[in-house]
Formats: sequence, C-alpha cells, structure tokens
Amino acid sequence: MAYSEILFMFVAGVTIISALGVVVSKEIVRSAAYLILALVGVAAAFSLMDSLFMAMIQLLIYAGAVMVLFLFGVMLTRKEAPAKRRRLLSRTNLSYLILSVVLFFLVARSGLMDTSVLGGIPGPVSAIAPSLYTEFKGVLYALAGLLVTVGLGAIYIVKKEANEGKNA
Amino acid sequence: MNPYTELLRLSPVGVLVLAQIILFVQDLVREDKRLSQYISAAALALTCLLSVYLASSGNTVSFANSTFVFNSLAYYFGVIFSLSALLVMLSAGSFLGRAEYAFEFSSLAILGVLGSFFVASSTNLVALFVVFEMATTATYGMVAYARRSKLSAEAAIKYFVVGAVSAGIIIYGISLIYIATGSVSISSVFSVTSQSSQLLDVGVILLIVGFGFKIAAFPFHMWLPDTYEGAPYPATTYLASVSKVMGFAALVRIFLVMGPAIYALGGLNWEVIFGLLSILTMTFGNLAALVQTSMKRMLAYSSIAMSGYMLIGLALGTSFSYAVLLYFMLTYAIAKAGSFIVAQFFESEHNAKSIDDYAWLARKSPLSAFSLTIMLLSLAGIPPLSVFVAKFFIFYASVQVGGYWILLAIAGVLNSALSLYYYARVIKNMYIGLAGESPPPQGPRLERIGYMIPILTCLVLTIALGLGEGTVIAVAKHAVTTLSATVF
Amino acid sequence: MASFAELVWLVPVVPLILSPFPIFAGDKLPRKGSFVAIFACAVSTVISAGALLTLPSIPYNVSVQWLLPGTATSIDVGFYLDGLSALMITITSGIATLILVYSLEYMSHEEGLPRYWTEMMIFTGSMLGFALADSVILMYVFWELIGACSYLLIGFWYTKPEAASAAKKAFVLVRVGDVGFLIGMILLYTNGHTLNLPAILSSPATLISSPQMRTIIALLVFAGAIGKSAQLPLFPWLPDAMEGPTTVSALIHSATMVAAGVYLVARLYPFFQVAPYALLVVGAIGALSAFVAATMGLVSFDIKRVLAYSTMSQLGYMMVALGVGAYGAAMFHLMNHAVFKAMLFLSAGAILHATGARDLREMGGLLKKMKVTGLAFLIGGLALSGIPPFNGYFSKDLIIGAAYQYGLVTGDFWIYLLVLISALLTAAYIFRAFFVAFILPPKSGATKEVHEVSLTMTIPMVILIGFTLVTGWLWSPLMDVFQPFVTYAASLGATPQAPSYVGLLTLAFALTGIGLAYLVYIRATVPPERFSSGRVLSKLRNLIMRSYYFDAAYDRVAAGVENGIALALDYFDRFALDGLVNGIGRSLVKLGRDFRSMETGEIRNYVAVMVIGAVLLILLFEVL
Repeated sequence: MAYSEILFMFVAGVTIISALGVVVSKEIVRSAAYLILALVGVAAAFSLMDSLFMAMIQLLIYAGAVMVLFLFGVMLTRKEAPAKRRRLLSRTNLSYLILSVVLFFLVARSGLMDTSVLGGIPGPVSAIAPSLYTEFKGVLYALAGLLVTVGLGAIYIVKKEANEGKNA
Repeated sequence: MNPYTELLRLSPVGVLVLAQIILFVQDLVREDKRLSQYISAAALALTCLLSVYLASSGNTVSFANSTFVFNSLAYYFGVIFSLSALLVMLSAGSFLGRAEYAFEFSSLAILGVLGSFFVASSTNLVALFVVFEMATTATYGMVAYARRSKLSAEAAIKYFVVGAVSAGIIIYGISLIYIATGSVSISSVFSVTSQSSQLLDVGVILLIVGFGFKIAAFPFHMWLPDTYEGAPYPATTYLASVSKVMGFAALVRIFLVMGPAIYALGGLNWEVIFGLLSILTMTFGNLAALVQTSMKRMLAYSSIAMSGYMLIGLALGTSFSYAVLLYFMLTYAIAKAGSFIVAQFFESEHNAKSIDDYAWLARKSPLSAFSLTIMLLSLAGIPPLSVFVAKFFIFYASVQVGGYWILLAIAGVLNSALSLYYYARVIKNMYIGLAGESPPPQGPRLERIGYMIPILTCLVLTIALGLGEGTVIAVAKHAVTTLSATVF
Repeated sequence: MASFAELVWLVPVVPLILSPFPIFAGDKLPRKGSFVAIFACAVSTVISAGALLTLPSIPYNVSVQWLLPGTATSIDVGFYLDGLSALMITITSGIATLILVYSLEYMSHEEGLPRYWTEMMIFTGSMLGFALADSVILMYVFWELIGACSYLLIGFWYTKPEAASAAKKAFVLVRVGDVGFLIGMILLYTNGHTLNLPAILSSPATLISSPQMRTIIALLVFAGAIGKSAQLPLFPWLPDAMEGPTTVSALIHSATMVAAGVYLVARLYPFFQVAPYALLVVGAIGALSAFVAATMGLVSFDIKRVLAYSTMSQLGYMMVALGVGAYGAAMFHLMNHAVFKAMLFLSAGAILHATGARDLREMGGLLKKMKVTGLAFLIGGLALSGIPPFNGYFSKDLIIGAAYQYGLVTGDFWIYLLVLISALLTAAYIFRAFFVAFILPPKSGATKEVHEVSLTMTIPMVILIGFTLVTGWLWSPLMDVFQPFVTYAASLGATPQAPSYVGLLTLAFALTGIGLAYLVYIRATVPPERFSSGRVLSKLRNLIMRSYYFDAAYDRVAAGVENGIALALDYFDRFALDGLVNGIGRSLVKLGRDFRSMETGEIRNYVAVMVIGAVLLILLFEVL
C-alpha cells in the first residue's frame, strides 16, 4: 500500500469519527468543534486526491466562513444542554449504524470495480470560471432564487412579533 | 427568434419574478396584508392564463444556455402549479388576516411556484436539484408560518429534517450518476463505462427514493400525515397540490427523457420499482385513511393513496400513460385543493376538526358541503367526475400494456372501491348526521364569499374537466410527444 | 318548432337541473319548493307523451363523445329514443307527477321537505336518464344514481333506526348486484370494444364471437337486474324498504327502481337472445321469485309489506315473460303493473294517513268511511289478480299463456306451473288484505274517527283508476297497438299466443284465489288459524314468515364480514400503523422509548424507514 493511500485512510477515519462526534457529543460547542475537524478532514481528502482548488474552497468557505456563522449562532442562542441523557449504545442506535453500513457497502459494491478517475483529471483552475458563468449559468441563477427563498423563510421565522416590532 | 416572441414565451415566469419584486417594494412602502395577497393572486392568475395559452399553442423557448427549456410540458405543469397556488392564495385571506405578517406568505407562494416551474423545465440534474430545493424551501417556510403554534413548528421540523435527508439522498444519487456517465444533463443519449452500469442504477434508485419523499410514496411518506396535520391549512393545501405535483414533475422530467436509456445501459427495471411503490402506496394510504378520525389526517392519507394511482402512470412508461398522468395531476390537484379549502372553511367557521364534527354541516353551509361532496366523490372515482376519468384512463392504459401490468389496474380498482367507504362517511355525516342523533335546529347559513370563490372554482373545474377531458388530454399528449422527441 | 324527439333530452335534464332548487331555496319558496318538483316532472311528462305520440319511424339518437375521443374504441354518451324508451319515460314521468301531487298533502306535515323534493326529483330524473341512455356506461351512471337516491329516500326518516337500517340494507344488497353489472360492462367493453346501444343491439352475435363470453356477460348484467328488481336471492331489501314514506314506496315499486331491472334486460334483449342459457336463468329466477314472494305475501300482516311482496312477485312475472320469449308481454305487464301498483300504494298511503295504521289487524270496515280509497284498492286488487276488464288481466294472461307455450315447445312445464299457482296465491293474498282492511268490522274498538282523505290525494287515485281501465285494451282481442310499438328489433319476435282454454284456466285459478279468501275471511267457513295449526303447516308458515331464512342468512354473512373487517382493521391499526410509524424498531430491535422528541412519531424513525426503503430497493433490483 502506498504511503498516500495510508494517509488517505487515516484522514478518512478522522473525518468519520469527527462526524460521529458531531452527532454524539452533548455540548453544542463541542459539536461545532467536531464539525470543523470533519470539514478540515474533507479538505485534506480533496488535497490528497490532487484537487487543491476544491480543498482550498472547502477550507475557506466551510471550515472558515460557514463555521464562523455557526459559532456566532451558537453563542447567541446558547441554552443549557438538555438534562436528560440519551443512552448512546442503545439497540436502536446500533440498528441505525448497521443500516448505514449496509447502505455504504451496497453503494460501494456497485462502484468498487470502477476505475474511472473523474475527480483526478488535472486542469487549469482558470477553466472553472468560464464554465461556471457560461455552461452552468442557469444553475447560478437557480442558486440566486434558492438563496432569496431561504433568506425570506429564515428572516420570517426569526422576525419579531408584529406588535413587539411597533413598540420597539 | 424574435425577441418579443422570446419575451412572451418567458412571460409566465417573468410575471412571477416581477410580482415578487413588486411585493418587496410594496412591503417596504406600506405593509398591507390584503394588498400583498391580491398582488400575488393576480400574478398567479396571469401566469396561469399565459401558461394555458402557451401550453396549448406548443411553444418552446430555452433560457440560460439551455439549462432550462420551456416547452409544452413545462407550461402544462405551470398551469397546475399556478392554478393550485392561486386557489391557495384566494383561500388564505382569513388565515393571513389573523397572521402577523402576510407578505412573506405571498412571497413564498410565488417563489415556490417559480421554483416548481423551473423544475418542470430543467434539462440538467444539478439545476433541477437546486430549483427543487428552492421550491421545497418555500414550503418549509409556509408550513412553519403559524409561528406561535406548537403543532406548526413540529410539523415544520419534521418536514425539514426528512426533506434535508432526502435532499442528501438526491444529491448522492446525482453524484453517482455523474460518476457513471460523466454528465449531469438530462438527455436521452448518454454513455457509461461498462463497469459502472451498476453505479448508474444505484444512483437512479437513490433519485427515486429522494423524489419519493416529495410525492410521499410508501415507505417515504412518513412525514406527510404529521406535517399535513400540523401545518396551517393554506400551507397544507399548497403541499398537497403544488408541492406534490412538483415531485411528479421532476420524476416525469427525468424518466420521460432518460428512462429508456437507463434501462438499456444500466439494465435497471425502474418501471417495476414504480409499479411496486404504486401498489404499496395506494394500499397503505387507503387502509390508513380508513381508520382516521380527523378530517385533515384522512385527507392526508388519501393524498398518499392518490400518489399511488398516479405512480401507475410512471410505471407504465408509455407516452399515453405519461399523458394520462399529466391529466391526472391536474384533476387531482384541483379536487384535493378544493377538499382542503372546504375543510379549512369548516374548521374556521364551524370548528369542525374530526369527521364526526362534520355532522349536519350540509344544513349550515349547503353550498360548500355540496362542493365537498362532489370533490370527495371525484377522488373516490365516481363518474363522470374528473378524477374518475383520470383513473379510468390510467387503468385503461395499464390494461392496454397488458401482461403483469394489469395487476396495477386490478389493485387500483380494488383500492378505489375501498376508498369509497371513508369518503362516503364524510358525506353521510354532512347530510344525515350521526346515527341516533337528531338534527340541530336550522341555524343561520354561513358561506363566506372569500372561501366560496376558490371552492366554486374547484367545483366547476372538477365537473368540467371530467366532461371535457378530450382537449386537456390532447394537450398533454402533445406535451409528452414533443418532449420525448426532442433531444437535448 | 322543434319536434318532440329533438326536445327529448330535456326529459331527464329538467328534473336534474332544477333539483337543487328545493334544497337550497326551499325554505323561501312557497310550500317548500314542491311546485318546482311538480313543474319539472310535468314538463317531462308532456315532452315524453309528445315524443311517444309523434315517435319518428327510425330511432332518434343524439350523442357526444366522452372518453377516448377519436379512437376506434371511443365511448359516447347520449340519448336514444325509440318505442321502448319513449314508453318507459312516459310511464315514469307520468306516474312520478301523480305521486308528487299526492305527496303535496301526504307529506305536508313532515320535517325536511325540501330534501324530499330534491331527492324525488333526482330519483325521477335518474330513472328517465337511465331509460333514455344510449350507452351502457351512461345507463350504469344513472343506475348508480338511482341506487344512491333510493338509499336516501328509504332512509328519509333517518332518525328511525328501522329506516336507517332498511336504507343500508337496500344499498348493500342492490350493490351486490351492481358489482355484477359493472364487471359485465367492463367485459363487454374489453371484448366488444363498444358500449353503444345501437352497436350492441344491431349485431350482438358478431360483436362478441364467443357464446360463453356472451352468456357470462349477460348473466353478470342480469345480476344487476336481480338486485334492482328484488328477485331471488337479493330480495330482502324490498319489504324492509317499506320503512320509507309510502309515496317513495309507490314510486320505487311502480315506475322507477324495480322497473329499472326489467327494463335493463328488455333493453339488452337482443343480446340476451344470443347468449345461450341466459334467458333460461332469467325465466327460472323470475318464476321462483314470483312463487316465493306470493307465499310470503300470504302470511304478512303489514299492508305495505303485502304490497311489497306482490311487487316482487309481479316482477317475477315480467322476468318469466322475458325468459320465455314474450318480450312484448313483459313490457306490457311493466306498464300495467306500474299503473295499478302505484294506485294500490297510494291507497295504502291514504289508509296510513287517515288511520295511522299499517298492520292489517288494526284495520277494518274502512270501505264505508273511505269510499274512493276503498274503490281504488279494490280495482287495484282485481287488476293484480288478473280479472277482466282491468289492465292486469290482459298482460298476465299473455305471460301465463306464453309460459304454457314455452312448456309445449321445450317440455319444461314447471315455469308454467309456478306462475299458475302464483296467480291463485296472488288473488288470495290481495283479497285477504282487502277483506280484512275494508270489509270486516274492526276487531278491537278502533275509536279514532276516520275520514276520507282530501282531494289532492284522491284525484291522483281517480286518474289511476281511469288508466287501469284503459291501458289493458291497448293489447287485447280488440286491438294490438302495443306490441308492434315496443318491438324495436326484428329479432325480438312476437309473443307466443296460447289457446283460449289456457286463459280460462288462469282466470279460474284467480277466481279460486278470491273465493278462498272470501270463504276464509268473510264467510269464515274455515278459520284462518287452521292454516297454521299442525306440525307441518306451522313449520311451513314459520319458514315463510321468516322469508325463507334469507334475512337471517344475510345477517349472518354481514355480521361475519363486518367482524372480519373490523378485526382486520383493528389489527392493521394497532400493528401495521403504529408498528410502522413508530417502530420499525419494535420488530427489528426493541425500540428504546426513553426518548421521544415529538408527540406523534419520531423523526429518526421516519428517516430510518426511508433509508431502509432505499436499501431494500437496491437489494431487490441490484443485488438479487
């Protein structure tokens, strides 16, 4: 096994464990910390697959900007952690775990013999912009619509009550 | 193409975008609940009329480098979306009157229709996913609209979580398809590397699962009863009509074009999957509806059952069955929206929630009770109402295909007979009350004009579409054949 | 001016279109909207009668394409006017109008009158539409409407538990037959690719080449007729349906619901003719029903039930006529029966109105107090028994004669024997009712003062008396205008005529029946109790009183089915629903219930079920 492959396995393992940590940990700040670790792990995986650009985007946008937003949100709305403790190793959780492992193997099974290297084709980063703004400009427009909708819905949900707003 | 023609052909979505901008401005200048409701209703009505015209005259226009292509099929779906949303907006008056803000609801309704319209016209899986999420997000906001109600919040959370998971499944499916074919465009011609045919199949199955959430196919339906029940009525109506048809639009869009190639290249019998889901869905929905006591929940389960019938159209995969499916969706959306609107009216006016509360309502509100009767009978499949015609055709289509597909028709007929029982219970309660209970004194007759406009529209359309199904099916047929003939 | 034939589409449409008026605006209209109903039916009557008198020589057919337009297998709907349908709509609308006039007074004190008028209008309109329909599918639509309206009308006094259960019984039993009709229709369409009457009637044998298939379809369609016309074994709803208002019974029993079954067979008669064995079944069931119903009429004490059994029996006669090839006689009897049965019911209704009694044992000596009512009942009874010169004689004579001829040709005389004995029983039971109610002095001190009912109720009876005297002559030794009129296809053939001694024998049997009733009840030479004493006789009487245990059998079956469904639903509710929603868990793993985030179900499980669905689909379609 090549050295890079061992490294990849390690990175993937860390990512999965941190993802589990996000779900499992009781404290929300700790969850957020695990999430950062998971996102960094994904970035590392990208760079190990020679996709430096994707790795950078992953680091900048998700591990950076998005996480800052998350932490702000946590700080502003932070409440006491729920007193009741959930048993981690319940049979229910175990069955969910088994389920996801089965699903993983089912997907992996169909792709295992695949040798295509779609992600690995190196190309100039500068080619991304033209394709994004010409070939896929429709998707870009659609994203704009999605953001408007999300913004509108989110703002409504956190909006002050109508009479409160008048008093303030 | 002449720029004016192009403008005309893009006008249905254009009107919606314009209405959205006007709504923003209007809300900035002066908050007025009525005005924002009227603006959105007017815009939806205009869109609906434009779509009817464009769908029947068979126009095509592409937008944004052919990422979105508006053709008869897209316009046909646009008619369903804008018409159902219009019904929602017309009936939402009293709900919005009590709500704190009205502007956001109108905007979300418009944005949802806009997203759905683009779903029906996208030629690219990634774009389809994004606009699908746009339309779904709009409904999240609508379901959570009654912010003070715990039920509404609970409904929204459930819907949101399940929706988020299904979004993940869809995007997973799309990525697998991308790996297998190297392309994300919805096209009838693509190729796979020989080893990855299975990857393509798994991707397609995941797509079916993900969109199955939206159309509430068994076993991806679990969120639906809770969400329908908890959401405020206009949001429920919207979910049952616009949102569900949007899920079907995505499936029709994908399988009508890519279906044959998926079978040829991947060897996946996706038609059998749909057939299986169809039988399970309609049987489960009907059985569950039988034991419901709450009207809203009964209607929710019956809408699951209707998805089962509609899935037959996808399962058969002939151009005739697709055309019938299109007609079915129109009739379903109208009858279902109408039933929910009457239920909303009865709940607000007579505080009627459970089916037993419907006793004697025909005396108190005869016209709406009559309309509900007709629409429930239509859903149950009583001739000559529109959903009967749709069911008849879809069963006919499966008999026409022959072989084991006839099982779908048999299951459908048996289920329709079963469903008559729970629909008839509501009608019986409205007209002759509960057993052993004497009728209430003749009270004042309450029929509010704000509700009567959408209710009567549904009533007239339910009857008229059943009698004049020829033109609609002709348009649907045309839409299907042009799309399957076009290569993107 | 447009001819009546061109206006004929108005006949069903007018009552149906105007039907919402009474229920929506009845409280504001004078007399709760009754005039709307009477007006609508009167218009239908005028147009129908006009169409009947000015009938074009070729059938008048107008239709529009409804389903699958432009294909070879399109389904058209429209109206088809020929002698048969013109006759049927005239009978229906005419009698309905008379009954509606009668109900002006009869129903005037009831609650919920607007509902009554609306339902009667839809009922009549559906029957008219059924008679005029030019395709089997349209017939089926109206057929179902008739069934639904009969459910509502029989259950008019829904607060009375007997009425509610009678309505339910009528609905369920008739529906059993309807399922047969529906399946038959679907088979007809899938095999013959058309549901249009002219196409089916012109060449039924080439339409569906397999004779077995033709028989299956004909028998399934006949199952529908059995249900609607209350023949064996689907009859128990008919006597129970007497719980509805008497006017409703009059309409159901004369010209609408039960006539629909006979009309259905008559309408599709050419098809039945080319279906081997189908007509034999029709005749056999008709003869058995005629006999069984007559025996049950003999032991019933409820005057309306006696009439109900007589309806069933007379419909049996019509089925016999159809079965033995006397198509014309069947329609003739349908018309005559509609007239005198409506009259009998109106007369019974008048008794009920005046005395409040339905039990024969509480009546007596009514002839002196209610002259017109008594006369109507007497003439109706004579017509029913088949005594000349009343209309029942002519048609019944033809039917029994045809049954005799059928026996001569095929060697099967049992149909003839059954209807002949039934003729005796018929005369006996109707005159038993007449003597007890009208002639004999009241048993216990019926102190209530009884008067003749008002003019609004007697006039319809008098009109019907007139018709009873007239309609029989339309097909008599004097003239025969009836049979050529209703014979719409060459294959129908003429009714076989029996030698005159057969007719005399029938008449003798009927007179014997009357004589027996006279001897037992008036002269009291043999006390009626004699017939129920002794082991065999009392057992027999018990058997008949309990309608040959059909009721009990149906109750058993219904209870069993109901329990079964209830059990299944309960099981489903508890295990499948709860189990699936909240616990895939419970069977897969024991679900930890220590954490419930939501009130009705756990989202985690919803998601889990979704993923399981995905896994199963991939397993099913990819791995296996």
